[in-house]
Amino acid sequence: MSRARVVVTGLGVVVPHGDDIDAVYGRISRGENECGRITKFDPDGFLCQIGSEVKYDVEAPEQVGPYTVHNEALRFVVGAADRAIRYAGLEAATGDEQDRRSIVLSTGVGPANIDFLGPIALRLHGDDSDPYTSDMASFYAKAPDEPEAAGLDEFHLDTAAPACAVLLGAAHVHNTASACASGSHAIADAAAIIARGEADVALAGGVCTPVTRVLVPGFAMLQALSTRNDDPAHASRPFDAGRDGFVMGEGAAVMVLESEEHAKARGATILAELAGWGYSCDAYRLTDPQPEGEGMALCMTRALESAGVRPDQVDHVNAHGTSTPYNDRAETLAIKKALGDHAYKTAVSSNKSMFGHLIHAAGALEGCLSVKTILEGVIPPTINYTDADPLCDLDYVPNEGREAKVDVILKNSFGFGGMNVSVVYRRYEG
Amino acid sequence: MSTTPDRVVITGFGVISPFGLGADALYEGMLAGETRVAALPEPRASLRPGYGAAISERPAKIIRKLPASREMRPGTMTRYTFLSTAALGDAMLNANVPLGNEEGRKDLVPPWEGSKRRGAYIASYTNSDKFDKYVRFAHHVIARKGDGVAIDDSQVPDAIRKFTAFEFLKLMNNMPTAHAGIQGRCRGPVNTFLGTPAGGVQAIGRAYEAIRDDLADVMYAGGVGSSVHDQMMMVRATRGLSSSPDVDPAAAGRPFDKAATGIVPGEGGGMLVLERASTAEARGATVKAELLGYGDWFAAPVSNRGLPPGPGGMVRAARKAMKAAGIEASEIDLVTALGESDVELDAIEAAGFAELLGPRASEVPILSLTAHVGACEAGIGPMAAAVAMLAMERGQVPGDLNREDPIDGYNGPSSAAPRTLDVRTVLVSVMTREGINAALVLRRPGA
Repeated sequence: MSRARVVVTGLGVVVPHGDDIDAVYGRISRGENECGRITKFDPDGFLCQIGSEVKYDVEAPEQVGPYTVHNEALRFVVGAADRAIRYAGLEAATGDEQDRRSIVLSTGVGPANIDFLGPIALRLHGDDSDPYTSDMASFYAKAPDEPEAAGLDEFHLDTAAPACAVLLGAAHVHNTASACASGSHAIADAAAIIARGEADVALAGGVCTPVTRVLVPGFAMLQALSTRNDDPAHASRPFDAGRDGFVMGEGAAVMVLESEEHAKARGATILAELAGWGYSCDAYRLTDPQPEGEGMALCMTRALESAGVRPDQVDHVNAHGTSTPYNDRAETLAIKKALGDHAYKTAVSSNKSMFGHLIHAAGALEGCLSVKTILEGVIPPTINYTDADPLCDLDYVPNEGREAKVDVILKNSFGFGGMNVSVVYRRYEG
Repeated sequence: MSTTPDRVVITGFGVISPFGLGADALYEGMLAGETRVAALPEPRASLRPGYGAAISERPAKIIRKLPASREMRPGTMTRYTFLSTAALGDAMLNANVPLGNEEGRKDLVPPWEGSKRRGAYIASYTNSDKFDKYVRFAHHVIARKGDGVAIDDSQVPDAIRKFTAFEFLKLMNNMPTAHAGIQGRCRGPVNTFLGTPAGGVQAIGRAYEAIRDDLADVMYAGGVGSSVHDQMMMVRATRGLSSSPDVDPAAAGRPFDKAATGIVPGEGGGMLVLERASTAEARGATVKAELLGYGDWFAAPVSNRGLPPGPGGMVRAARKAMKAAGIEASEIDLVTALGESDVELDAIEAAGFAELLGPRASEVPILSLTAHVGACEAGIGPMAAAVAMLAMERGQVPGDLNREDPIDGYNGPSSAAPRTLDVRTVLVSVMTREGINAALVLRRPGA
């Protein structure tokens, strides 16, 4: 079965390092950190007090078709999509051309419900009532009529993918989620849609805003997050012996994919080829990766086979590299399984060392940075790497970016629940 | 590895609904003209509309009957994951999927053999089952500040201790699929489709493509949903979309009927076992139907949270599925619809069927589940597909409950009595108020 060649023609981000992909890549390739003490709320007394936040005003359309862009997550993703579409030099399609455009977007959850529920509960139950004995029936009877209740509708971010579809003029909308693998998953699914001839253009990526009063302490309770609260700038330290968990990050990242034929026909600048992709599931545990990295290795091998790339042709692995003890060890084992001896000659680095884990957007942001790495020739470092872990014994590009001609990048993304995706980005040669 | 797309067949289906576990329970209940919409217990009874169709049996009791692993304890699941686990387990039994008990484990799951060629695409949402805990949490951390209120962050560390760590893992929106990967021993592609009632049909359509792309030989695909859920009921009530609290619950679900007053809360899930035809044949599986085609189409609503601009998106989704299937409208014997029980949305959907079916619109039954089980979100399409396959097998199509006085523009049949019908080809259509539409074409084996 022949398949169309898939290329990347646009990149768009709204992430802690900025909203211009060229500038963001510049900062990342120089090893600049954006993890720090949380500023969105006062985390004093929290088990984890560290986050990677978007601290600047995000410019984004305020209205997209029928959709009002009224919360932070929507602003991030609509802003990123708008930038990617402009980067690609595309306009919104109309008429039958919409049938040839697709959206695959991964979304986490939107604004925290507590922001809306708190004022309602206080008003309905009174200042002096005990929250834990208050009458829920009376709350339920009246709460839907309170003005703040309308905010609950934003929790699921249902309008994010449709809003992006309006921006692109796409008739096909898919809203997907595979936890931390989601961003790469969306990109791989979009590539598959183009490869099989179902669309000419697709916008794919993800958005997540998990730096909240509920999710940060919640995931800290799961022992997933770093608690290096006295040294937040060095908390995200993938593959380092002192790693103790990941740092929650926020933002959105998307890319425009096209069939090569379509991109060439309109004279678009082709940034890279999306050469292959692979999926697998550990079918093991909800919380932990399969400890030998079998599922991870399987999806890497599948991606390489899909791209027609031999393991020894991989120049760089853009790792999932979360900075959790389990992931980084299993991923190291998996890279060795997938690449064999070539694993020791391959530059492996984790961008998350600088911006933490953007969950649903992580794979998409790291995919955008992979494309830039091919174009600019500097492999971003793994910062905060000071003490080698004997079980993580590959070349992790420690602390300083490295100039190199990079033709083939294997990008890994692995999610809670054992969902694995790998994507192969390759230098475009027409 | 095959080099050409193989045919994709359905070798099993599973359902969990307010009628109980199994597609038979739902189908028989619908044939009998029954509804499971009833008054809800407090405190949910105080949430508008105060009634809905809920699954009353305890999850642990249901899951004990099904293929599951040690990870499948109800305590590790939200309602969505429970619905998914139940529907998938039922589908695996229905498909006679080989089940093992290897390595001394007590799990009853498929053997690892073939696992690399199995995958799962499931549509769901995320909502904590403990919505009341979030209300109490929010109340705990809120404080007066000047003329207004603000969150007192110093209270958060104390308030968060009311939750267990696992409650946050359970809440992740991919958890139903993560459980399904373990339950079905899937080491192939696994993904979750979010949002809108069309999600379940989209998951099935994408699973169909995954097999045709040679990513898998077997895909578990479907969707689950619960709108008998505090948060969803709050959202619907806030938006004025709930059915009226002043009507008889049993008569509240009225798809395509003039007396409909809005969305009736419900819950359920449906899961299909899709297989490459050659794989199904090799294991001697019974084919329930062939999946001939899939289509989807998005048409933005006219305003934020408004209605679609018309039936165009729904019609284009269906026509894409029909084109992929290589069929004409004249070949469709049965349509399954959303029928949300909202007069305005139902009118758009009815107009779509009139356009699609043309002169046959008056004779092709339009089956909707909502009068029987309420709004099951992403579960509705796969559940309807399962009912349709039983109608294919048994030649009986459930009647149109609570459709005594059809809305203007609805040209289809409206008889409460079941019909005897030779059902060979079915269009499964789900249109949504969000503007995302998806459709499947199923054909009876040998038809």
